[in-house]
Amino acid sequence: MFLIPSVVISVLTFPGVIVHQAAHLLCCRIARLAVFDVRYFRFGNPAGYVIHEATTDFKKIFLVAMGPFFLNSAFCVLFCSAAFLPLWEFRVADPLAYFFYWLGLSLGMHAFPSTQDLKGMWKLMPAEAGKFNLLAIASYPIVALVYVLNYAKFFWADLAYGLAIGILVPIAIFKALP
Amino acid sequence: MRKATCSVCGSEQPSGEMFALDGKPICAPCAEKLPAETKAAGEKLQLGRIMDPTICSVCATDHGDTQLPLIGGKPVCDSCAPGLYHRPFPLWLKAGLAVLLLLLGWSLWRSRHYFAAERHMVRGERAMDRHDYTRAANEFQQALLILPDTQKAALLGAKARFMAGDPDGAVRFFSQRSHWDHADALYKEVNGMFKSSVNAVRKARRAVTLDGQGQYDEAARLMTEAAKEYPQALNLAIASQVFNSRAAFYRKDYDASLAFAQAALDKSPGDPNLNASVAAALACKYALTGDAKFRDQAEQMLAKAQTLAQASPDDRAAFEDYSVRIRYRLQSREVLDKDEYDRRFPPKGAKR
Repeated sequence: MFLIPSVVISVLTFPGVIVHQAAHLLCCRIARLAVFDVRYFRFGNPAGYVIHEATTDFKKIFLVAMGPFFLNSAFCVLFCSAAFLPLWEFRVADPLAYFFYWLGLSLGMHAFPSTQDLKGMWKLMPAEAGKFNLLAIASYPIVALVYVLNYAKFFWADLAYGLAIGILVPIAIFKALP
Repeated sequence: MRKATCSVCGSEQPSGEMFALDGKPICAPCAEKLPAETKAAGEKLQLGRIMDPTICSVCATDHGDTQLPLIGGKPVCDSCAPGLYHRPFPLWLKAGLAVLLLLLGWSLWRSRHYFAAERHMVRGERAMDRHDYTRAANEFQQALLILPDTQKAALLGAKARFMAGDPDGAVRFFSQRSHWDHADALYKEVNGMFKSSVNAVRKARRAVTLDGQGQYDEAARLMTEAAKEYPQALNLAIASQVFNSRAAFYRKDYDASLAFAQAALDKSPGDPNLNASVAAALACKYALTGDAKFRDQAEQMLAKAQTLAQASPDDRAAFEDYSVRIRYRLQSREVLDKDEYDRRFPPKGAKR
């Protein structure tokens, strides 16, 4: 296995870290949760963080924990799609396309919520699922999958995820062209 | 500000600057000595900072005796609370995002020809999936008009032409590009088709030469090989059946000749020459058996060939040539090949 310190990976893919934290902040604002501190990027582990008010509202926890996953993934698809045609389909060496692919992959690699993000959800899920909260029930497979993927980061699962959505989704989008 | 008395040294201090040990306040100097003592006693230290509910945890303003509301377990004054709920995004972040989005928009606008070309590529690939190779080739040609240096479009266009049995059209796609990425799997596939088609055409030409020299069995064998080598080429498949039909005719195996002629006609029912070939084979069967059924069928096929031949002067001329022999065969029940027929009944203007 090819090992690179996580700090180095964070530095190389810093836009993903920044957008991840910005997404947390945005979701906190939407969920009306107080934010005490934000670090968009730092040289260390974690590479960024948002310290916010705790809540027992499952919807809010879900939004704050999973928001970066959806936002980073969406931006990853957006930027990779812009670069997909010149790079993959028409094999044009366009520097801007390379830049967008790096940006997109950085965003995709940092889409996964951290285990810290998931812990709050995980704690509330059994009780909420017991109350037939559909979001909590639907969260089980998502959280389980993301937990596994988080641990699989050692095996470059984050890069694999970034590549998967950065390539497969644009393919699906362009194949659906009328 | 609230004050508390240290449970160790008894000094009175601001509670916000003190710690709690087992629920009891302890001042900072006493707390500093604790780790060493607890470590020596082998105990675990449970120390936490005491929060003064009258001092704002954000701006550190002392609100005297007024207890502040807790947000996330921390006392926060009214002037700081809104800021926690609407923490602004830093300017560099907003500006960075704006620049990226502008760059993305500019890139998308600049890439509009890629989207136009991709639309043709997608349509072309869909047409390939439907085996509509002519439409596919046209779509790939459109993509090449927009992006002339696209290997994939040129290769798929060539592939579509090969699949349509049009190697010349495929070569035209090949000639639109001077350099190729030879490691590309699609290049290898299409290049393989190109080599097969060249081999097939070479064999077909040799078969035509042998056919002209009267080596009908060898000609048929070579043409069959050519058709197998390039199965997408309909003209080779038809030629293979026609050559086999002719070889069977010269072997006087009229059943086989009829079967091959019928197989050729099945591939192109609108071809007057192929209709006439079936008519000729049926006439042979009539000549051999005297069964009127074969004669009637032969006449029907000949009439159909005559109708179809009216579409082009070449077909009309060909019909005039072969129809007399077939009619002679039906009238005389004598099977003559072209050479023998021409020898006995020389065409007008020909020297005996």
